Amino acid sequence: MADQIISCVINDDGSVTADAAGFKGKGCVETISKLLSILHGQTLGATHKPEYRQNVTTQTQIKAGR
Amino acid sequence: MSAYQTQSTCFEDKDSLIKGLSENGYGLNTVEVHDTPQTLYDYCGHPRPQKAHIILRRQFVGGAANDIGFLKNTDGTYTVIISEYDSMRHNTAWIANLIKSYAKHALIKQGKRMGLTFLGVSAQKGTGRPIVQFRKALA
Repeated sequence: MADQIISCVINDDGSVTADAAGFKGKGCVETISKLLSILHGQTLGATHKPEYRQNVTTQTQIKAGR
Repeated sequence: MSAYQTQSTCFEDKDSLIKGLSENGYGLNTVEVHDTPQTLYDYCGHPRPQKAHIILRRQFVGGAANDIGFLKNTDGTYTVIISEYDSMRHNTAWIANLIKSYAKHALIKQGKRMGLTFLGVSAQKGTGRPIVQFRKALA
């Protein structure tokens, strides 16, 4: 099984948008929520959407505010 | 005398703040870190009522500058204390850059703490925004 890659984009206002792609199932939201928790920003929004490629993967995106 | 102004921040992690400062003009040898808040001094060397845990002394801030401080609050966040005079250079743009540097170092620290493999920092195509990447091994 492929590893999971987590990408955190630091936006111009200092907020962070994190994506976790490459694995399926629950746990991704928890992982990046925990990662962003050090910023103690308000979690502005989280989406969890399946992406259908050759294998079913999920992509999770959470944005943490300042 | 230039009045001090305070601004609340999102900074909570001391190490990440210090690393962030190092990317915004203040290397490690120019940053004072104290367990108890210490007095800030103005451009004449006179003590001011304000105190801070992390201090950038005026000789490193610039000509005719006052000390800049970061005071840790009871809720764990830091309040930045900058004189009106120095806020011309240490303005909202400087604070914004510091926030971005802080976010990067805080993420790296937290990722390592979680056992993630830090892959590096790159620039997002198109925007140039920094991207901090990690790998998580799946069972």
